[in-house]
Amino acid sequence: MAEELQQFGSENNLSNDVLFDINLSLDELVTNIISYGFEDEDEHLIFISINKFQNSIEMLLEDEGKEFNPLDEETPDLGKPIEEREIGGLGIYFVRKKMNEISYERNNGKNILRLVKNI
Amino acid sequence: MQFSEERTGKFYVLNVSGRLDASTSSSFEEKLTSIIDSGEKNILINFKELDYISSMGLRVLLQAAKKVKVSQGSISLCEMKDNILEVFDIAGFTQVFQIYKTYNDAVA
Repeated sequence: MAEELQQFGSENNLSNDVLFDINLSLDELVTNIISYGFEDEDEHLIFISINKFQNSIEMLLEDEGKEFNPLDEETPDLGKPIEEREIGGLGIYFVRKKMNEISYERNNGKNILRLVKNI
Repeated sequence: MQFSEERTGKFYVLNVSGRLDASTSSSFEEKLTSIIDSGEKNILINFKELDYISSMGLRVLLQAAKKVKVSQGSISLCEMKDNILEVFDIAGFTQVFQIYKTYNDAVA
């Protein structure tokens, strides 16, 4: 995925910063789907599309895994001392920090997530 | 992802290059665990050649930091690119690790 995003970035003259944020967000979401979305060990498709508009990049992620709305996730407690810090929820928190718009719907057994990054 | 190691003054230095994500975090974890298990307490990780980190990379670092803290050790980081430093900042990890801007600052 990283290589394809790199190519998308150079084709569309995206800055390294924008590309990094898009890469991080998609990476965290896809890792999440692979880790928690399915109980079985079968192959599953995750559909990702990415489009550049004049002032934004829009992404669409679709998977047939368990219902998961990243907008419902609690903000992790970032102030705890090291012994009590946990990593859970951090990936989704990155997505919320890095993207300008996130919308979620559950439709036809699919999680459909739309992300917008302003450029 | 590639590693090299050296000892400089009080630090055992681990140089990391490439991308630290879901596909590389286990080799990073193995490397860091073997250094900690060999008894090193003051570990400096040089991220000068690191291009990318995700929460999977942070997970390994947090586990390692917890592990060395038990033996009164610590993990320090240096030479982080702005994008990577920002990820640490969002995660609140700038409080968890001693972060030096440059390698020279760290070993001074």
